[in-house]
Amino acid sequence: MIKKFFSLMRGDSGKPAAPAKKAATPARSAAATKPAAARSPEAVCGIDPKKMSPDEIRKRLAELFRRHNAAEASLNPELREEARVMLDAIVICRQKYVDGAK
Amino acid sequence: MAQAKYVGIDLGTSTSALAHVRPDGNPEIVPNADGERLTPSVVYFDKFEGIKLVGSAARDGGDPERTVHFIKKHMDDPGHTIDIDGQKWTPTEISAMILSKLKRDCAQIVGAIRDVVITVPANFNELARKATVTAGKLAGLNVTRIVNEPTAAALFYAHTQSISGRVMVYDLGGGTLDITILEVDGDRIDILLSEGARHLGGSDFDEVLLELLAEEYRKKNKAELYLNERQRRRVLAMGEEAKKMLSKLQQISETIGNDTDGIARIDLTRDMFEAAISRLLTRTVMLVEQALDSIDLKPADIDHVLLVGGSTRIPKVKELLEKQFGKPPVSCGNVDECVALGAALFAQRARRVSEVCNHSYGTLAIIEDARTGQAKVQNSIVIPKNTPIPCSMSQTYITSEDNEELIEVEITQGEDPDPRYVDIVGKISLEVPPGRPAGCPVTVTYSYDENQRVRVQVYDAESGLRKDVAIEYRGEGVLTDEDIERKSAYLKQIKIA
Repeated sequence: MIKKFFSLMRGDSGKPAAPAKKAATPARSAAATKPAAARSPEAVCGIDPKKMSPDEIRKRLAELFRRHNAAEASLNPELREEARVMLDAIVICRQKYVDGAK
Repeated sequence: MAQAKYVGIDLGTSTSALAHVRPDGNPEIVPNADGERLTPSVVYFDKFEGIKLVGSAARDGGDPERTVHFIKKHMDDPGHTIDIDGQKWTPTEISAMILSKLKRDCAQIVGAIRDVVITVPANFNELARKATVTAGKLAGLNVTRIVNEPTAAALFYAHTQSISGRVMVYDLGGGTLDITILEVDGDRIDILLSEGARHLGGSDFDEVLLELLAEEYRKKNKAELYLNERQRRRVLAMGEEAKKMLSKLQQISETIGNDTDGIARIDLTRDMFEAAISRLLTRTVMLVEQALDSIDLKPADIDHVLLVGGSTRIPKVKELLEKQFGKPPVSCGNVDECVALGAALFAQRARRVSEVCNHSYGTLAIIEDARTGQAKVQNSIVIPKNTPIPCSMSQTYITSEDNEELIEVEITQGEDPDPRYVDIVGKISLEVPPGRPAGCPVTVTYSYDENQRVRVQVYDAESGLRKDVAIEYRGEGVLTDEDIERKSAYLKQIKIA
């Protein structure tokens, strides 16, 4: 594994970062283990309409859309299927909390 | 026979077309042997004479179990095959049959066809692009360039209109939506950005209408409208016609049914159709917003919105764009033909078009957060998407372990920092001398040329060793040169009509 000079990325003092531990497979969060299709669109998208403004929701949905729209063209068929489910949830939330709020 | 010059092919999801540039410098569509300007991208495998029908004859008759539609949607799916009479056919081979028909039919009019430009959706990944080039080779064509469909359409638009300024091409075809933003100055085109969405096109709208008809039939006749593929295809074709009618009329009546449960008269309104496809249309709006945000533009910064693709005939599509941009979108001639016409122009004047990287390319690296000390594997982008090409960019990393003897660089394609959401399209390994401490600098240089080929060089400063490779995706689904030669010879023997 090669490691990046952190300073090139964040513009800090230029001191090389300490050697990293070997990367483990990223752990899935508890929320992520339940299939997306079984959760509400709001839970899937991580939005709480009671606490977030329409603009905050729009930005969050835009981030998710960017990720999962790209994933729909992935070479990984599992990722493509996940993207399909996510895109449905994103659009439902968009129509309800952004377009519907206008 | 003289050879045709400057030929472009739009190998579409629903229809395909071939165009060439006439001696007067204008492109024109070349009709197929059936006299059609657009050839349905449909292949039928005849049972009795072994003939493969391509086009309208394939679409309009025959056993639906032996008919292949929308094969372009599966160009990057190595697991997808069509099984006919015990023989498996890949999407590449099916596409090659469509290209073979175009090549053979159109050569009767313009001369032998060998060098061609073929268009692809902007968001086609590496495997789908490769599969398209391979389909061309199997059909006996020399694919000189692959060009994005919106780029081709923009070139045709610039050729036919006296425009300058910033254009957004909105290409909503049979299977995909592509958005390209570019600057036009005379016959010079500079692409600024391309974004695309899969499974977002006319065939997806048709599926929605199919379900709407089925639901209405279920309510009236308390039965299922279709019980097998033949019946389903028939209803799908009816739905497609209904969709086209609803682009011109506010309301239509359809009589639908089957042999078992009788017929029902269904009244369909444009409002019902628009409500049914609203989620798909919301995705189109979000993709346009994403495209603008990616290069910090507002709708007012766009001078012209250009419509391409048959699905842009849907009135709601135009209405949404007019609402977003504050001006009506425009089209230049037949929205189904401008991609092929533009592809022919591209074959002639590719050097007057400057393109951008279709994807970000990078590598997996451990990135440490200086504030928290946490390190995790991330996708480290070396060439960002939409960088003008040709380009060459470098990034320096350091080795993370003592005594590393093999530096392995995994080449990623994708924008996401999370490695889970990017594709690994290649790998380069550089052997280095043993006994070195961690922290040795390694420079990775990526170069992207006009033919959308990516080269990667890895340079180890400590030893002076370097290695470079051209990225050639060699995963599942990619044919070897021997496979291509063998399959091409086989396809030449097949009768295609």
